[in-house]
Amino acid sequence: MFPDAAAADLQRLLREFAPMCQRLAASHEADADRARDLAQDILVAVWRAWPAFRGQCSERTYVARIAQYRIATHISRAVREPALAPLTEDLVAFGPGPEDSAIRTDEHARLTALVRALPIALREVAVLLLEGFSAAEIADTLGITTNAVAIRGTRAREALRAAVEDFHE
Amino acid sequence: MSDEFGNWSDLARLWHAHCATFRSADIEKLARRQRLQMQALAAAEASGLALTFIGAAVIAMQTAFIAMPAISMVFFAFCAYLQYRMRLEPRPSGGDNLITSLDASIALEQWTLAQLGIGRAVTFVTLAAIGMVASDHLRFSATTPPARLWALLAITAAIAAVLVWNLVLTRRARARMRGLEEYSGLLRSIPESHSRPKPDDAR
Repeated sequence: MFPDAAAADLQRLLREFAPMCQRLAASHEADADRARDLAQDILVAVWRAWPAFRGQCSERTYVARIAQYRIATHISRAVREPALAPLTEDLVAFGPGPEDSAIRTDEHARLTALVRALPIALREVAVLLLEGFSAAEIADTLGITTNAVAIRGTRAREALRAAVEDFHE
Repeated sequence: MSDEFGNWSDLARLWHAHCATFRSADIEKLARRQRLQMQALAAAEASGLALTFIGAAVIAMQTAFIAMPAISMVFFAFCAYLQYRMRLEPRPSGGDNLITSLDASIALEQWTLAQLGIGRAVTFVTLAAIGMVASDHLRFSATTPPARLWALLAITAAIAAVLVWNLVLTRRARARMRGLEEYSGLLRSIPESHSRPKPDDAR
């Protein structure tokens, strides 16, 4: 069994950061089951590293750093594996009604797939921008300059917007 | 919502439409399983080395063939030391920024490869030493007691198994290092093209 403090940490991490971890995982892993496994793996890594958090950055940045690192190690292993299964659209969205929910789920799945198709340098910045991180936080998470974040952010946005427009047409 | 590089709000709204949930019991189970796997691997390696070390000692006692078990005991003790050092080396948690963590991981893989290289060199030296010690017994195998020949075979097989395991670990470490270097290189480079992503291209 885990100590009470660790269990409380886990509850809080799940409440506050699990959706972000799942979205980050899905933006790099096309297979839904593997993406969920990766998100769980990220959450375990965050939970394990949590006692070492000393306020060196914001909590969200700390979680994103660990998540991005786990994703990087996952991808660097997966590169040598056979092709992954095609994207499935069984992602759940919590919307107002079933029809609207289905449309949003479909659009969300499309957006995730488009993000996944971006080159890694743009993708890493795009997912953090979509998560609502500031340029300084992204620079702090990835270890690049804010200038590089600006360039990549602009290019990623152009590429995504064009692809989304293509989709709507 | 970050609008520093244009309007991301509509995309971000869509992005946040997905909200996954995880049960703490599943995360605890996974954490426990990962820890058990690591412990099982370390225990398997340690007990494998301990068994061969004990085996060499038993052979030495039963056949009075002192030189060869002595060489192999030193060899296994050295392997255990290398393994202990490699297991003690802390792995990056990812708490630093991504590029720093990737650099730390690559450095760790390089260090691991260096340790495995030392282990391999020591294995070849040990096999050569055993070859020299055993050459007389092999040349006059007809008059050599069978117990000594069996001892020679058993110890050589154990050392060869260590060499194979070393090669497997080296191959895995190289693959990990190449993958990390590739990812780090992609992260550092800024793509020039404005090509439009297609969902079908997603990996």
